[in-house]
Amino acid sequence: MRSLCYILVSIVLFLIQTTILNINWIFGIKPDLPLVFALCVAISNGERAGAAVGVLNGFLEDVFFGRFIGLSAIAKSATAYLVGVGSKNLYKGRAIITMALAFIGTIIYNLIFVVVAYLTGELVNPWFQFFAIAIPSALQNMIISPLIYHGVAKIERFIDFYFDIKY
Amino acid sequence: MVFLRRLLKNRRWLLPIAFLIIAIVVINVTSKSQQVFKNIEIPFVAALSPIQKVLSDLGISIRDTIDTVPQLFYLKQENEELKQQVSELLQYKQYIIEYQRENQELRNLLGFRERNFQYDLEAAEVIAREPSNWFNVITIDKGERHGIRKDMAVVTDKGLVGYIMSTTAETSKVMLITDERSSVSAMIQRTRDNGIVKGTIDPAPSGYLKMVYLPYDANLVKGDEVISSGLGGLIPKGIVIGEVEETNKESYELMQYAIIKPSVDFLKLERVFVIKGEREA
Repeated sequence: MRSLCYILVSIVLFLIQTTILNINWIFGIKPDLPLVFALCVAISNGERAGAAVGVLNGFLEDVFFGRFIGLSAIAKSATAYLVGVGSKNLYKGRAIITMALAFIGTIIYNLIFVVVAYLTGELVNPWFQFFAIAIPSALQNMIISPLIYHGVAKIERFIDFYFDIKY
Repeated sequence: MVFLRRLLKNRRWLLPIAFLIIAIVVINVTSKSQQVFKNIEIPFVAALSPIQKVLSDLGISIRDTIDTVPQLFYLKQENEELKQQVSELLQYKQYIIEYQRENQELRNLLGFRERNFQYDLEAAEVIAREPSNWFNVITIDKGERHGIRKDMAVVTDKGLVGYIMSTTAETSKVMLITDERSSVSAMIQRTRDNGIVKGTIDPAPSGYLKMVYLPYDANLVKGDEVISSGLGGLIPKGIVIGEVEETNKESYELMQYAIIKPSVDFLKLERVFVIKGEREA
């Protein structure tokens, strides 16, 4: 049930990201809801769950907009895995921690994305605009991350209450 | 061997490594065989593109609503006593603005179609946009069923938008000319100097294009119009791409390049035309 719920939320966030979120461009950059969702799942449920959500989100992105499958899937899942591992011993739930992890996670995501895109020949010289894309994107993701973390916590409570905890 | 034994003992890293190996295989297979990629792509696109179309329309309505908010605030301040009436009128006004804008846009597109009667054009709506900030790809609501094929040029009344990357029965992916991977044969309309217009690559700022391989002695000035040259056979000749913003010599001093401001506003792209071919006289 938990998996099904996360798959559905991932698809909904992907649809919002590719359609409605086009209105929300700041400095030509938009926040990445599916990435922030994967990061929040990694913080909340561990690196494996985060990586699984990252694979699904990245896979959808690759299928709909890529020239092959794997670029976004690798970048998103690896980022969520690293953030999940890195946040293991941190106190979860505080907005400032989530925001810091979302900021760092977005920078790591852009770094992995650029390296994989460079290795696969998709980007030839990405470094000249790396900071112009990564920093505003990290700031935007940082701002929305407490909201999405709150959403993930609510999903967890919902699933625990209705499906997992047996009395 | 010792390394492998340690790795097998430390199972924590086995899963990520296995995933990485699978991912590399998937990248390799799907990038080499477009048929495999298409087989995976088609069911997902077919299932989700109708929802994307609805949400895309919703997004446009939300954007238009947001655009009218400052106006609403201004009117409220100025006409406190007519608040009720104004809000009612604004609602109508919002509809009218939307219809007017749509009407104007359709008129422009119709005018464009009439001016470009030599081309067989297919009108399409943008239904989704690449979520990452690195590439510039959009999805349109017309595909193979409407006669659209890979590499066809996509335009608006303002100029060149990009070209078709891949198609499914009902939708197509369009690579915008601002994408780093895009290259289009082009020429400066005034001087007839030829070059290649690439996407946003060093040192073009975000949203601008770089025209490379321009002759060293080409006499370019700011504002020169750049059009497609028709070389390469993909994009028909004479479609406006943008105008020269600045020119510079390449570091090796044999060529020069120009930074081009595209004529199309890619952030507000809603409707486009796909050039399916030329009409017979």
